[in-house]
Amino acid sequence: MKKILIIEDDQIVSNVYRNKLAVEGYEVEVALDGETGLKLTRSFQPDGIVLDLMLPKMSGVDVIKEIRGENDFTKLPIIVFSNTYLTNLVQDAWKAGATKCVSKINCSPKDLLDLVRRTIGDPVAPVRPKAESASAGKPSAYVSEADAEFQAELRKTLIASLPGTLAVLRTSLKSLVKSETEVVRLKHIHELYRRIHAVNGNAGIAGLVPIAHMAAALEALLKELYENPKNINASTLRTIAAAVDFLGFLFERSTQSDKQEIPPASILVVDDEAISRRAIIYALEKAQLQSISVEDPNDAFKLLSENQFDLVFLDVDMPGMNGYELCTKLRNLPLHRKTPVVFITGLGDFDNRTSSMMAGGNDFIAKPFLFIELTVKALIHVLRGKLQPAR
Amino acid sequence: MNTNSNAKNEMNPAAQTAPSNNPSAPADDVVPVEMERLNELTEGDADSIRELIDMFYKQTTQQLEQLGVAVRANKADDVRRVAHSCAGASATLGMVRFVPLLRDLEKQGASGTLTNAAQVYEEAVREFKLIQNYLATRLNSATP
Repeated sequence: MKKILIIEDDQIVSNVYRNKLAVEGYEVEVALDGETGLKLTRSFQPDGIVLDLMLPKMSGVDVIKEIRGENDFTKLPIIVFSNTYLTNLVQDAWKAGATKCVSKINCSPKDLLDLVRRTIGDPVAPVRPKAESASAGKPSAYVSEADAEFQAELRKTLIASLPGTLAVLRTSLKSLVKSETEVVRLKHIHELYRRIHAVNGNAGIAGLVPIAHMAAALEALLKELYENPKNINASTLRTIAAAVDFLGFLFERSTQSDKQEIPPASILVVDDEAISRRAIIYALEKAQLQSISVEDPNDAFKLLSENQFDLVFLDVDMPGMNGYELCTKLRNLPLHRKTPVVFITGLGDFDNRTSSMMAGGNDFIAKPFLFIELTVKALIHVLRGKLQPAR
Repeated sequence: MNTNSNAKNEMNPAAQTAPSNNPSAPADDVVPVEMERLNELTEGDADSIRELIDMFYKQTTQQLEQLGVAVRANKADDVRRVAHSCAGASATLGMVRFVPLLRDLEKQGASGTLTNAAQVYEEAVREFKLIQNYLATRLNSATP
């Protein structure tokens, strides 16, 4: 019998995966932190490991490095659960010796099972005919139906817990905003980060893709702020608050529709400066959001006159026509009366919101922005526009 | 997920964060460039970093020329506009010591009075050269 070690600190996620793999015939052990995972690797001698990267006591990347440093485990398959928005961390995991990296955002228990089969092998050694394995002998329609039922049950359970989760997130956010010292602020950032990490994992296994996406992006922002507290400012705190608020919107909507995919969106970026444009496009690509960028505000207005966009990023200070002027003009276009507009402005100007409000802007982000902060903002505006009923 | 084991990341981040041996690097504790931002923006790809830096050099060289002309001609609004644009790009790429000088010029330009703009401008030109030296050292040390 093939042995699988799951190293995952979220008990709901680890239990769901453990049960799924055990039902299929694997022998499964679970470790809830990195250190225990490493010890169990040595004692349990698994045929493969399923590893979360964000672990207490020892990070997932360090676990991989330790494992790969031991002769017995140089070729041991390690499937890593990662956060798509933590690009550098995923790269570190590859470098350390991960065999496969899979995003938590859309990894159902069945997806994990398929991946384990492909990477580690069927639960029993190939002495037995393949058809004897737990599900392979059953008609595929039966298996799909059972998986769908299992998935539906998971989703139902998670949805029932969402109001309580939201209340806890809001309490954490309130404590963060009220923090008066950096030490306390960091403590609350970390607490919120752990909670959002759990939301990401739970939503991912339940197939609640928009919630998982939003939580994954926010988790990456919180991690960045925890590791680089100098980036905690009025802009980033405002973005965190908006993201928690938007999660509340997604939680409510999770009970109303079965459509759980991220819809495609088109975004216009207007900035006269090439490097800033590149940075914005990069931040949008983190969420697989397509964009068109232009440097001339007049060209932008022409594009806006002829095309629908789901979101517009506007630099404020541009020659010929500034961002506020362009925003005022675009609000007169029937296509863009309600299109979200985010101004990119200097941190020093961040508190001066009057011009933006007068021009019809919806939001700000301070330059130099964290790439992940812009990603979070873009996701909030695009998803809200796509998912809320037309007014 | 767009990741694979043959990812284009061929630079060794450990090498990129090693301290500079460049004798012309400033003695300050603060290094001129936050390499993390450059690395993140390019996902650590050596060619992308070089391409982005070339873009920055061309753009900044041109902007510093324009700034010099504006400062000498005492054209405060031109100083504000060019310094603002140059500061935005530099901040995006993590040029942490260059940005405050440009912000100072932007502020002086916005106030309409270029008090010591010529002096700040000279400091900015020097800092830009330090950035170039620093990056040359770092990128050469990262080349296999």
